[in-house]
Amino acid sequence: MNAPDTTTPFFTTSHQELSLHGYVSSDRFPQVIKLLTNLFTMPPDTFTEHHLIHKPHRPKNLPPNVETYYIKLLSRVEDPDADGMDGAQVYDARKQRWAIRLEDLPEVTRRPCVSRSILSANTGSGDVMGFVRAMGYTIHASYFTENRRLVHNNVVLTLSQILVPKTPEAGLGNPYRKDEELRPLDPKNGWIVQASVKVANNSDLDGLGQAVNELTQVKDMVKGVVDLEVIERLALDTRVKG
Amino acid sequence: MPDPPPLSLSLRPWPINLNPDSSEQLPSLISRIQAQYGHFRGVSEASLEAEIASASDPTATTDSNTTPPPQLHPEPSSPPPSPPNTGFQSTLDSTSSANNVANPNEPTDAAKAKAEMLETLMSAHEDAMLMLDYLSLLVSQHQPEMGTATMSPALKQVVKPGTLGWDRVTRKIDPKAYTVDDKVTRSWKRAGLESAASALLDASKTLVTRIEKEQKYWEQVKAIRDEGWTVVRHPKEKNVLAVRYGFAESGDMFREKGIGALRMKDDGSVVMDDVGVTGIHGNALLRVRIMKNGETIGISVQKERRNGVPGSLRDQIERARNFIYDDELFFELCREARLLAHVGVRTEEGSVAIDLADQRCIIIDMQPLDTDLTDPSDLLSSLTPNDSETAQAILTTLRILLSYCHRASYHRRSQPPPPITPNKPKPPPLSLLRPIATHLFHQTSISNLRLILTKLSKSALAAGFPRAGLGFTISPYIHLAEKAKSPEFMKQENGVEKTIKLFSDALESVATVTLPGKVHCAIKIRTRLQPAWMGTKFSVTVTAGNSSDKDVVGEVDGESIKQQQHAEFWMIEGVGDYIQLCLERGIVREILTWKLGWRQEVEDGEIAKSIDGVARKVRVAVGRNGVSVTEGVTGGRDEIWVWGEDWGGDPEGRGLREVLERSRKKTAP
Repeated sequence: MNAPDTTTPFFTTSHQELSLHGYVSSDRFPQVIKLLTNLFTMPPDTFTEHHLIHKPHRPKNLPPNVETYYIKLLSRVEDPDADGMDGAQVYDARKQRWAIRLEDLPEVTRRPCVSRSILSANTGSGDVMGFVRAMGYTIHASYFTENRRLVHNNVVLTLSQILVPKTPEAGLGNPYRKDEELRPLDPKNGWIVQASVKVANNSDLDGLGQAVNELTQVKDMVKGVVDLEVIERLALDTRVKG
Repeated sequence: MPDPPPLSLSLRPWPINLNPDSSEQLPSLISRIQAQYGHFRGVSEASLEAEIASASDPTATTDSNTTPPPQLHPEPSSPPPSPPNTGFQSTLDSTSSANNVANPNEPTDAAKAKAEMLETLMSAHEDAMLMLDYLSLLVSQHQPEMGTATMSPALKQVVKPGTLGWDRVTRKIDPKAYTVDDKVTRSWKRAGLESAASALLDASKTLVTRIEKEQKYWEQVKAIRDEGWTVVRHPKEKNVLAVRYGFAESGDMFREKGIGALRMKDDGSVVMDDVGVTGIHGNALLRVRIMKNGETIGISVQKERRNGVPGSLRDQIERARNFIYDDELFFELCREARLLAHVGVRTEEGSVAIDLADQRCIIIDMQPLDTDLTDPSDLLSSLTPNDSETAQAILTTLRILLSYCHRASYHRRSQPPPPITPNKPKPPPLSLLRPIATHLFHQTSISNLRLILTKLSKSALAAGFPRAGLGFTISPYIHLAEKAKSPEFMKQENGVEKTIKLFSDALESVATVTLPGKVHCAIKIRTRLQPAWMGTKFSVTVTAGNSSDKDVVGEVDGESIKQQQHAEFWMIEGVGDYIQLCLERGIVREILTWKLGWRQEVEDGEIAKSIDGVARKVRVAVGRNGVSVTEGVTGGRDEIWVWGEDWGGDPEGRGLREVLERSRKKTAP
């Protein structure tokens, strides 16, 4: 009966993710959060994540059919207001606890959802950014996401907003100084909604069926509050082009 | 006998025999014969003879097989041959056979009836066509297309469409009849208006009462909502409000039950569905009893705390909430009790029992509430206030623990779940009995250990050992201090949850024992009822202080006791035996320090001395009676001294040292 340890952000290792997406405009956002809190009978979890997109270096003698993928380094940004830290902390990306993640192109499926394979590895200690660089990847983009997360059985509903550094001089960005250094990517300040279910194994048909059922259930539950739909699978394409 | 074919009166004419000799006729003829007389299969000698007989004798019976011979070449004008006789046509048949006698060609009654029917149909048809023509001529004046479409061509030739007109005719009005008519119409109108007025008045009255009712209803519902209760739509019944008094974190079974429909009584006030009807146990709350030797020595009190006025809606809701809380609590208790069967928890029909030492047991069950009668068990003379308090405490603790479990399940479900796998883990039973049982078992272990140690130390004291080097202390619940300092614990925010967590896992206490011979035992008592190991574990660590006899002090189970020895036991008896062994060894060590000449030859409780060539042996043993010392010569008689708790072994009240010194003196030359 231990209360869960929310301090060490361990991300789920490799799994299949089935999801539906939606959009909430910024003026509707407070009302939507309130309605979702009532529907899910829990207040949303608030946290910030840092995504570092890396592009692979393409060797010259690679056959033309082979695809290369962008990978991302993912970490949860500690809340600067927590005990033991003062507000003006300097953010050092290298000291964060990263997870290395590759989100595959969603597969072609008849199911009423987007289904993609996620390969992910958590790290213990060491210089993850240096490791990834040594593997031939260079930093391609850096952004933060502001998240609100709700859970219902196996479905996780996340509302997120992407924040990018305002000026190129800001480097990778400092999440502790959101107002000064970061701006939302969406000029209208809207929120993207994702309802996702994780299945351990893509060959587990019962599990996949259960996941689809739960997704549909949640879709009906939030009907009228948020419209969850199956998005174009190529919108989540992480392959390197050209 | 084959079934008689049904009487079929076909309006289709008999087929015309254009070519009598054509072979096409035969298949159709055969099928007609089969329909009429039955299949060829059914033909038997008897049936054929009957046919012949009936043919020659027309007044034959109404047997279904008797028929006139079929006429293969009927003339077109002749009527069809009579159908075979069926049961209900018997009267007709007799006349038909009579007819056949008179004139085989005259039409039968059936044929006559058919002809009549056709005639009347024809005339009706003609009337209808005439009417149609008349009306269509009339219509054709106003709507030529519609009218002319339905006019018959014959009519169109005779009369041109649109030539028939119509108009209303005014009659002369009879004044007297007019006034009478007028009066009649007026009075009818008045009656109509009066009835309308009275209906409206009635309607308005009912509307007023309805409005009052509704107002009262909605006022009460709003009051309930303002107090904080959630008012929702009833999930199963339409257009019915309900109040949610159940708990959001209950298990699946109880979440749906926690809804009470708010219904309107005749005067508009709100009444909620009685949960006594819908709950499993009806109006019952949890009760804890402590029994000893079958008698109740402690019982918890049904104190229902209700804030509202009895009978009011708020009171009803609160009662319902209490009932469903205890319902769920009892359900989860029963579920958990099944897990703990091997530590002494029994489940019986409608109750859970925990067996404790000393013939005591705790029984938890549901007691129906009778608000009018006082519980007769309150008057039991065997009740002791101490035990009743314990029972009450256990009841309150159970309720607190359920609330704690609800919080834990809320935390659990708010976290993102792990990916779905083929094996679905079932939720574990809530931890309600376990903390209580852990505490009770731990207490029992501590008191048992205290008894054992007291007995031993008294025996050792009686044997003359100084109090300084002998004694024990027990520190209960030492884990609390350690746990409270751990960083994980400090990070938890909620004070109540913190407190409960301290007591809900393992309980640990430590006893330190000092024995003669500078032997120290540290006994760690750890009680834990979680899946890894369930029960009480005693870890004993024995250290022998500085002694001149080097390291080895003695032997336990083939292993030498070095400076520090560690042993683990699951039963208090094992600990008791082990401590006795340590005391033995300690005493032997102590004796050896007295330098009375005794030597320890083997590593056990025996010491030997050789005096004047005669080997004397002294064996020290510690048992149930206390410390016993046996002294003797090989082959001679033994002398035994026992020092127990309450008595000294020696009639002169001497201690062990004096006894040994005396024996030394005795054998000294």
